[in-house]
Amino acid sequence: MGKDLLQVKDLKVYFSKKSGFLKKKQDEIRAVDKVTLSLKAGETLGIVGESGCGKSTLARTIMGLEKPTSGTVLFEGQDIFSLNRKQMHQLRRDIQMVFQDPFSSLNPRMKVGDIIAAPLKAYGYPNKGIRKKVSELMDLVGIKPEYYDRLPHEFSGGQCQRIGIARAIALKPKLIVCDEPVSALDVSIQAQIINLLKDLQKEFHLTYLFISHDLSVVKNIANRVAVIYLGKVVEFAENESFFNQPFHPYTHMLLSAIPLPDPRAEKARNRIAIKNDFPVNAGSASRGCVFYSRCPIAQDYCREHVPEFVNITADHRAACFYPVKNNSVVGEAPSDPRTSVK
Amino acid sequence: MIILVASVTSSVWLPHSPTLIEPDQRLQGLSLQHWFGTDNFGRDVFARTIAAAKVSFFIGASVALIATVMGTLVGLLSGYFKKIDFLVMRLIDGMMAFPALLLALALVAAIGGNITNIIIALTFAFFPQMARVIRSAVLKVKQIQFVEAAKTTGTGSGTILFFYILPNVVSPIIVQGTFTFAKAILAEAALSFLGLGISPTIPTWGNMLQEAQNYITIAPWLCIFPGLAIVTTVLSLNILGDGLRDAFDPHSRMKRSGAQRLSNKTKRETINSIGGRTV
Repeated sequence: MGKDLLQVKDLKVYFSKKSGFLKKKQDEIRAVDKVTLSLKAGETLGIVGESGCGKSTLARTIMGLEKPTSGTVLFEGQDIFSLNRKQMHQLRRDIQMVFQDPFSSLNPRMKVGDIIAAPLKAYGYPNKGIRKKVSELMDLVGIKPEYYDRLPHEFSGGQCQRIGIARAIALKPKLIVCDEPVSALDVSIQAQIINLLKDLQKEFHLTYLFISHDLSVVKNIANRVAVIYLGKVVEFAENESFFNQPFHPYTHMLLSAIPLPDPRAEKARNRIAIKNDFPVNAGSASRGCVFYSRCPIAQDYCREHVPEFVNITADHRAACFYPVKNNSVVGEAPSDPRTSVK
Repeated sequence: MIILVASVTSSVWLPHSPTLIEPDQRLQGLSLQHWFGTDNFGRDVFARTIAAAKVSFFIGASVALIATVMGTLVGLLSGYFKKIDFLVMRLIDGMMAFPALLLALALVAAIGGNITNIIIALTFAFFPQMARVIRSAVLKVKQIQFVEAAKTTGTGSGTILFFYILPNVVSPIIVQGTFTFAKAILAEAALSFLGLGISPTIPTWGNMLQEAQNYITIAPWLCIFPGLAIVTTVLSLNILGDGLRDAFDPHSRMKRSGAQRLSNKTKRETINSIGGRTV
C-alpha cells in the first residue's frame, strides 16, 4: 500500500435549520462531526452507517459539492477547499463519483454515449476519438457499444449503474467515491456491480471510498472499514480485524442485524435488539457519548463524557469507554473507565 | 389547426378583397357568393376572417416566440444561479403585479397602436409568467442527481444549463409557449375590441367583433364567425401544446414508434451480455 491519497481531518459539516427569519436562534444539524479518515492509494475504504448518519454528506463534501464548517480534506497533500476554480477543475479529474440512484444520476434526455463522453468533453478530449473511447469504456463495463445512441430509460437499473461507472472511470481518476452504488439494485445485480468495481480496481489501480449501509457488501469489497454514527466515526479498522473483533457496541448491533442465510443459524444466534429509535435531535447533543441513548451497555459515565476516538489495538480505533472484548456483547466494564481511555 | 395555417398562407385566392367596399351588398346574410355574409360596409366577412387570421397569427406567433425566448433565458438564469435569483424574481413580481392585459393596454396607449408596438406590449405582458414557470421547472430539475453528476465530471455551468437543464424543462416551455400564443391572440382581439389595437383598415378578429357589436341584433353572423375563429384557434393551440409535449417526452417516444417488441428483444440480449461478462 502506498501513502495516503486522501486525508480527511477533523471535518465538520453542520447545517443550520433556519426557523423563520425573525427567530435568531438556529438549530444545528451536525451531519458530519469531526471525522478523521485516511485513504491509501489502491485500497478500498468502506464507510457504513444507517440512513441519515451523514455518509452521503461526507461523500459530497469530499467531492467539493458541500462546504465544510471546519476541518480539511487533503487530496495528495493538497487542501481541496483552498483551491481556486481552475485548480478545482483539474482536481475533479482525479476524483469521480458513482451515485446511489442509477436513474436520476443520468440525464434522461441524453444518449448514454454522450453521458459517458461528458467528462471527456469537459476536459478537452479531441472530438475525433471520443466515440471510440466511449465504445471502449462501454465494453469495459459490460454495455454493448451498439447502445451508444440509446436513452437511459431504455436500460435496467444495473445497466444504468454500469453507465454511471463508465462515466466515472472515463477520465482515469485516482479516487472514486461510491455513494451507495449498489443499494438501489437487486441482490444478484449487486454482486455483478461489486465484481465489476473490483475488476476495474485491479485494472486501473483505483482507490475507492465505498459508502454503504450493507455490511456484507462492505465486507466483500473493503480493505478497511469505518462506522459512522450520527456524523461521528465510532470505529475504524482493517477489514479482518473489524469483522472478527469489533469493539464498539454499535458495530455489534449492525453486525447482528445482518440476516444469515441459514435459518437454523439465524434462529440460534443472539440478536441484539436495537434499543430506541434513531434519536432525532441527538445531532445537536453536546454532552456524553452520541450512542448513549441506544447503547446496550451504556453506563452513567457515558452520559456525561464524550469518548475519545482511540487506538484499542494497533490498527483498530474505536470511540467507546467500554469497548467490547472477546466478542461478548455485555463485556466487562472496567471499574474505572478512564483506564481504558488511556 | 393546419386548416387555419393553410388559409393564412393562401389568402391570395380569396374571392373577395377583405377591404373592398360594396355598398349595395351591405349586411347580407349567408349566401353562396358571400359564405359568411357581409358587414355594414358590404365587405365579405369570410374574406375578412381569413385575412384577420394572418394578422392574429403573426402577432400571436411573434409574441409567443419572443416571450418564450426571453422567459426561458430569464427563468434558466434565475433558477440556476442563486445570486441573481432574488433580484430578478422581485422584478418579475413587480411586473406580474399588473394584470397582463392592463399592462399591455397601458403600453399600447403610451407607444401607439401599430403591429410592432402591440407585439412589444404583449411580450412584456406575458414574459414574466413564462419566466416564473421556467424558473420553477429549473429549480426542480436542478435537484436531480444528474446535475450534480455533471458537476463532478467537470462540466461547466453553461453546458449544464443548456444541455442538461434546458432539455428537461422543454415540456413546460412548450406548454407555456403555446398557451402564450393563444393568450396573445385573445389579448390582441381584446385590445382591438377596445379600440386600442391596430387601425381599423386592417382586419383583425378583435376589431371585426367591435364593429359587429352594433349590428348584433340584425346581423349576428358578423360576430359569430370571428368569434368562432378565435375559439377554434385558441382551442387547437392548446391541444397542439399537449401534443408537442408528449412528442418531446423521451418515454413516450419509444411507444409511438412501436418499438415495444424491439426493446424486449434487446433487453434479453443485454442480460445475456452482462451475464457473460461478470461471472
